[in-house]
Amino acid sequence: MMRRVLGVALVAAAATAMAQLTGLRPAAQQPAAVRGRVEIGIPVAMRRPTSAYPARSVATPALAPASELRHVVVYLEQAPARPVTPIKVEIRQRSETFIPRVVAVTIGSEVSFPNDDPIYHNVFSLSRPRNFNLGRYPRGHTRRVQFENPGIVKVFCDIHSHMSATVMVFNHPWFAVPGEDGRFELPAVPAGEREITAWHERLGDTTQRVRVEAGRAAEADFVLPVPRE
Amino acid sequence: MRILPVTCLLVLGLAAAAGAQQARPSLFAIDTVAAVDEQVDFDGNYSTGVTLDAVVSADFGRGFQGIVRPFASRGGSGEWNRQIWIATARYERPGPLLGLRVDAGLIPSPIGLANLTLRHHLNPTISQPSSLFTALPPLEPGGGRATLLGAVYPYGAQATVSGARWDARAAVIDTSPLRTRRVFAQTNPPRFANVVIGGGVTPFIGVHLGASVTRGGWQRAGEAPFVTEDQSATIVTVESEVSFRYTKLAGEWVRDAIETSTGDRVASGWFVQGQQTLTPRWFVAGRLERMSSPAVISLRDQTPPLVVDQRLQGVEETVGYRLTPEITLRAGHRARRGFGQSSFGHTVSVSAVWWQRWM
Repeated sequence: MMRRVLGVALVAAAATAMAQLTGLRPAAQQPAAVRGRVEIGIPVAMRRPTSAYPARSVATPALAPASELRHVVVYLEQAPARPVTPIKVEIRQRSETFIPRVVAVTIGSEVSFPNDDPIYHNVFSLSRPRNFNLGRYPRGHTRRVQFENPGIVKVFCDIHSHMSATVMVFNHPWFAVPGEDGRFELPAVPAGEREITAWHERLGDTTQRVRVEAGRAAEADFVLPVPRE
Repeated sequence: MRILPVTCLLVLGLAAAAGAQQARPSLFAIDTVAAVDEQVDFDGNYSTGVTLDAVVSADFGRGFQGIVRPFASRGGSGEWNRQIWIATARYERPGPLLGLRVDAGLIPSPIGLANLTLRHHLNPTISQPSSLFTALPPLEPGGGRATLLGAVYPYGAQATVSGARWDARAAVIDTSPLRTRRVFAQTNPPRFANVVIGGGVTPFIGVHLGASVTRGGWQRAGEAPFVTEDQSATIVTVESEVSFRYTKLAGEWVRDAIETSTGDRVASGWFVQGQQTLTPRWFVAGRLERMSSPAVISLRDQTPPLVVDQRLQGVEETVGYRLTPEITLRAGHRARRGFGQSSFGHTVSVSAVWWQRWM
């Protein structure tokens, strides 16, 4: 009897080790994609400068507004940390606006802040995951910041109070920024009952529970903010 | 036939849904500042100041907007001062080559650099430059007191044009920059049309040099015993701002040529201030200032007045900590020797400023 139990345990341990070595998992634990579409249900207001004391020079022309869908980040809640590949992205300062206003990166990633305006900007953040102050620098110059801790980093310009941006830093790969059509995909989400959140800098976050089953893409559509009944 | 209205509704609905995916400029923009400062001088006298300040802007479209700035402050004496500092209609047409802005109504002073930082979160130190609020010595026997360059909010109109490396402005205001009028005040100095011409250049990013000339009346005939006709003043300012990396420096020089019943008088002054960011949260700032003005002292009716040159000197040092992007804490020391005083008075201050953008 004892030998039989030992034998089963050995076989199970060997099977698990083989599965980990070969990347195979039991069918019930195999990951699957979560796909969906984000829609913004109400008009979003873009901040205008308020200036009791206008600057000596008249402001530069405003940019055409970008799609607000690019300012949404969809991600897996309570995701386990995973090794991720750092990336490099840009947040440009143009016409007194951060472009894009929202980026999502993995830990270790580098965000550069080029200044395209014919005036100084002073990018800074006091957020807990990463605080920094890049000082003033003119057009054509850039400064870079590396983000080593997960979390939300709010970025501002010390000179132009209407400028703000957000860097969302993840220690796992299950996040996405929707495309212009609002569609997104989180690939290889671990199977099980999961919570998916769509976050927007002004509209807050909306969370849905989805059941991720092996080999079947789960659907999660969002309307931000949650429509009133 | 029913297809057409249904199609129209569908198209309208889709357009509305598509419109919601893009941000629109906010109709209103509101920010507020609440500031508390506590001062104690070396004689142990405490005073607490409180300031509540809001800027509300409404976008009327096509470059037009309305701006109102209500303001309330409680000074060291405990008395509240409630004012409307700004109530202006603004037209702005930005442009890469030529930008245009026109303000009309109750506008902020178009003169001088210090007048552009008259909100607590914009001022690097706790106190404001003395030139804005400290009265000059008496220039006219029995007459009203003047400031070197007052924090005035006159009725008037200002037009600003600017290019990539230059700016120019012209304004007509109803108040002399030497004497502050208030909307809600029992008594105010007389109205005078003052004309302001100013301009500046930006040779390279981070450096701005500017100058302005203001000419207009400041004292009405009959306001003082010996004033038999309206008197004018000419105010010249030169200003400069330099900033690079973590440093910002600013300076202003003012010269007032003032007509009085006893002859023309000249008062002048300058300040230099700087701010240095040490870390994302810590900064230091300081200001050095000087003013000089004649004090005209009437001895007897038929005797020429005694004219004494008096000086004001001041220095202020501040260390600041940004608790959040909206809340700044500051502590500072200020030493000042006022007009006619033989020694410096010292004041230690702490201040908390909460600036919040609401919409």
